[in-house]
Amino acid sequence: MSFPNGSQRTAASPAEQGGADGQHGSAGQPAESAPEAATSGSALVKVYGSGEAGVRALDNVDIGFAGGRFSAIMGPSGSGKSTLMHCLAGLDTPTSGRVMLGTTDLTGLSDKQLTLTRRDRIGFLFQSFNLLPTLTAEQNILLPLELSGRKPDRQWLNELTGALGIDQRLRHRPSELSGGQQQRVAVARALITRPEVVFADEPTGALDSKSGANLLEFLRGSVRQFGQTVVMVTHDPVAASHADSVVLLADGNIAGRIDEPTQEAVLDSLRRLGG
Amino acid sequence: MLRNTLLQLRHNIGRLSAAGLAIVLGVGFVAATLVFTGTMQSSIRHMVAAPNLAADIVVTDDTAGIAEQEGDDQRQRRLRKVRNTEGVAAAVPRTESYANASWAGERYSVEVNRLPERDSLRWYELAEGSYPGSADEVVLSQRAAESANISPGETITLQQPQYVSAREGESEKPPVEREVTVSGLVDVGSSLLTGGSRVTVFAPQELLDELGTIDYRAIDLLLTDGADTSAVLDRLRDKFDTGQYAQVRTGQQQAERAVEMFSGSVAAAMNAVLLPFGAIALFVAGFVIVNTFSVLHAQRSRQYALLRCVGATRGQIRRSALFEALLVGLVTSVIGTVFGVLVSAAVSWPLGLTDSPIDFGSLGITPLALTAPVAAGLLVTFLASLAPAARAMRVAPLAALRPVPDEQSSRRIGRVRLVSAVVLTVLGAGLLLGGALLGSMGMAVPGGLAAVLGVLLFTPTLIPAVARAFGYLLRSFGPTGTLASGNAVRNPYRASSTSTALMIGVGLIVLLLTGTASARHSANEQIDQRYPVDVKVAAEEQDQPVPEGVRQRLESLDGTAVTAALSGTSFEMTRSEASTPEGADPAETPTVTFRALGIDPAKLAEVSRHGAEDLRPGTVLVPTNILDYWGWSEGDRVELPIGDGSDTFRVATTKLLRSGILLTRSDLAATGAETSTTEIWARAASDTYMPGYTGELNSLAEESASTPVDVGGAVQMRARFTQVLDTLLLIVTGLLAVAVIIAVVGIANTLGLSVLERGRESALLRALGLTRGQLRGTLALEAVLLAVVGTVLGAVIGVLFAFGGVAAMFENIGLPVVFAVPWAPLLLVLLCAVPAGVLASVLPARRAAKAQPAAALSEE
Repeated sequence: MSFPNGSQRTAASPAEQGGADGQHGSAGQPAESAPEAATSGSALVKVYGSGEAGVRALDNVDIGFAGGRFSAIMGPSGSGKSTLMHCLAGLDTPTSGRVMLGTTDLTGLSDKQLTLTRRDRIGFLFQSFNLLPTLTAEQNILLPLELSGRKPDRQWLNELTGALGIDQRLRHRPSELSGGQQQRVAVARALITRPEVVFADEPTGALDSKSGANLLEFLRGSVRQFGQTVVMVTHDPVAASHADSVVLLADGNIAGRIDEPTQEAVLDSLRRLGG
Repeated sequence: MLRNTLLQLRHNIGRLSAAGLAIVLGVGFVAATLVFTGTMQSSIRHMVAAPNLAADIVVTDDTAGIAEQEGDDQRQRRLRKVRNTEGVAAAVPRTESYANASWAGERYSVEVNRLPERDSLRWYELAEGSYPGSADEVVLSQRAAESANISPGETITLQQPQYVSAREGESEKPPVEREVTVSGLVDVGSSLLTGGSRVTVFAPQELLDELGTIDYRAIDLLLTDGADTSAVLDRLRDKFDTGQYAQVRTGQQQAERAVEMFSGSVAAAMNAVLLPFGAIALFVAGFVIVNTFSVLHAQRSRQYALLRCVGATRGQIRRSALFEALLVGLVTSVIGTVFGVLVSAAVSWPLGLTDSPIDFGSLGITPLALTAPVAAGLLVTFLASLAPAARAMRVAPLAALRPVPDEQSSRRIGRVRLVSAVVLTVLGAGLLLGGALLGSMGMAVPGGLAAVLGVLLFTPTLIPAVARAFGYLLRSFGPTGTLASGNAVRNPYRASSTSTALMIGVGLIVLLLTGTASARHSANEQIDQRYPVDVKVAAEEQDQPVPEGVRQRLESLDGTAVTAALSGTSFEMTRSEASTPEGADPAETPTVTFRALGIDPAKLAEVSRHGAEDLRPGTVLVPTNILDYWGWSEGDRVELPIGDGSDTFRVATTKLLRSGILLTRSDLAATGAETSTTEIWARAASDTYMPGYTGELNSLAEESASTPVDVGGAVQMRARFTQVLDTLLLIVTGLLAVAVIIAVVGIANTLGLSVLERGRESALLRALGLTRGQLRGTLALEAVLLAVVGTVLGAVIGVLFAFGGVAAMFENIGLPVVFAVPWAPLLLVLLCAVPAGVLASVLPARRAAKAQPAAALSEE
């Protein structure tokens, strides 16, 4: 696979900033708590519906994702990978089991506490970008900070948007941006709060292969350079091969784990799951 | 296709609920109006028909009262003639009189009717107690008696009115007075609204004879058993010259004739007043319907595109959309009509038009009252759905293949529309201004209507612009404010039709508020001009002194600034040949009694608002009517026979009094006439309407019951005028409130539909950390923004148009033009917009906040 110039630049830019960013909490924290998982779930059960019609989307899952790593969750449709991510990210509450974000137990939190946790400690990336059409790119990026009433760190904003190559597009509304640009705005929004974990749900699903590759390289770069923790759900073996490790899910259970995956290894495992 | 339409309709039934509610309210208003006026109409018909239906034959004089045309002898002769006709068993004249009745310290003028001895001629039913057993017992009409608080067993005093005793040439004798006992109450079927607010007394003929029978307009006949009605009619007609005085008809015919004379008038007049408000309500409902279908079709554009892909023609899509609208219109219009009938039943009962709230039999439910509202509802729904249906039709089949439907609908206002909006607004405003300057209603009214139309065409540009301006203010509310202001104007057409609906309702209310405020202001100025004295207290009987203590009592009232006592006397003057104006008949009222009042000029300056400087020694102030009567003119020197001899005075006109003449106290004393304090004048603390003070003055008049006093002057005039205006304003505002409620439902509707559209967005915001409270706040701010924009624009337009209208109208009738902005009510209207917006957001916000972020975000 050949990386286009743009991707080289985006990957390189955080590298230049890496040293200066060392003192920041978001970079240091995962390193300190390395033995502890950045996000984890134990004995997670999620049942949709009830009785006979009930579907067990997660069936007693124990899982942990280490800090400062780029992890992928893979599995066929209906394997429970999205449910697992939603539970870990505090978007959904498991039927039973425990979810930890760092040292915080998310299971016992109220809706409001969960909301505040998401706002301040978690970043999100979605397949369909999910930018607000009424806000400009910059307003979209700063939205999480605005919601919490925090002052934006202009320098961090400039670094991020410069690295992502969207610094010239900040005044535009989403409808005036290409799909790749929109997703890069979404990445900047996910990173602006220096979250403990970024959860990405099929982030390349709506992108062409070139833009997709660029995005994955940037995510990988952010893990390498800032020690960012990224957990990505995908069904695309190419996307998964960019991750440090892949967790395979089938029928609500963990079906395997691949470290330093290659496309072939992932495809192999998937084929085995299918068979 | 039809099945698909019905399935879609069923699928979206919840989204149509607000539009449905708007139609139900609008149609319900129209139906309630028609049924209510119909009920009044039938109640009145029943009332005028009932007295005639009891008689077999009625002999009447259609031209005038019989007694006034003929002497007593003639009356008796006629009655004898009728009684002697073969086949007539009884002939009872429907005699009536009037009396001053008093009970519990209150005086009423009542109608006294003869209570027929024969039971079959009593067309009313005994509701309570019994019929009179003797000449000192009476029965009263039930509803009016109950509202006047008299019950059977109580005693009332009936006094012959003065004009009756005068007519009978007994002016020397005091009027006849009788104490009678109320033996029972009869149900005459009339209500407070159908002229039944006055108590009617039914008394034996003996009592009527004592009080003095005034008149009878009809003789009720009963026939002997087996008599042939038409034969008796013929015989009676032979006996009378029916062309001139008497008419002979059967009771049934007479009833029909009486009804005919009332036919249509009341209901038509009330419909003409009430139905325009129904039209306004439906017009506003139209905006809600347009919005609903626009959003619905936008959400369905993929489905429509899919249908087009598989072969549906544009016409089929359009027909499907229109059919759906008509079906919704039909169902909601029927519900609205039923609702309207229920409302009118609920309203008719306390007004005494029906016997109970579920007395549907007595309601005037005509076929028209049931069909017209449904037709109106259908028409409005149909018209309102035309544009959305046309847009649905234009969906390209290709749209089905696009992954995500276009979010941004950046449709701009069309050029034709923009040009016609500007032309109409400018032209209309110009005409309105011209009409205002020239005092031409013929210019102002069409000008105003054209300008309104222009503004309405302009709203898709105007409202988002204003909303954006207000949106900047919302930024201070932080991210929720930013989001809300962005969302509010996201779809300019939707925002504008939402706010326009409110703008119309508020605009009309503000128009009325400003109009009445200006009218009140102008009226107060007129009253001040014509009534220089705020309060005038005089004994009810002319030339009697005002009782002791009244002045002190008046002085002690909070609203009184200063009082003055006037000494008065009366004198007689004969119109001499010399002073008779040309053409007047000198024989007519040759001698007239006048009042002369005297006051100290310094005191007069204190109690009057203007005109006091004219009063000088040697001058007599005369109102213009007396001036004209005598043919005097300003500056004339006239001789007045007051007191012992005659004195000469210089004449000046005045507005200080309307009857009698005014001179200085010392001049009056110098005439040597015997005087007493016949009037007290006072100046009030304020020249505006003071409700409390007016009440105090009225109780002052009631307290001195032994020597009744009259209280007049500018204060009373102001109170009367203000109360009439306020009552009218209250009623009209109440009627317009329906339109405003529909408009607020419209805001809730728009918001609710937008919330559904933005489900994914709300979920995203929740995922990013927007709390439920913040989400609700965002929607509340959005609704408040729409409400405030509609209200502010409505208020501005209402005030401007009211100024134009008031100027034109006042100029037209020759009054000085006065503008008054009713700041306090205006502020109240503006403040109401905020809670109304919050209220409108409650249900949509609940729905939005309930959504789980994960569920709404998951890819479908």
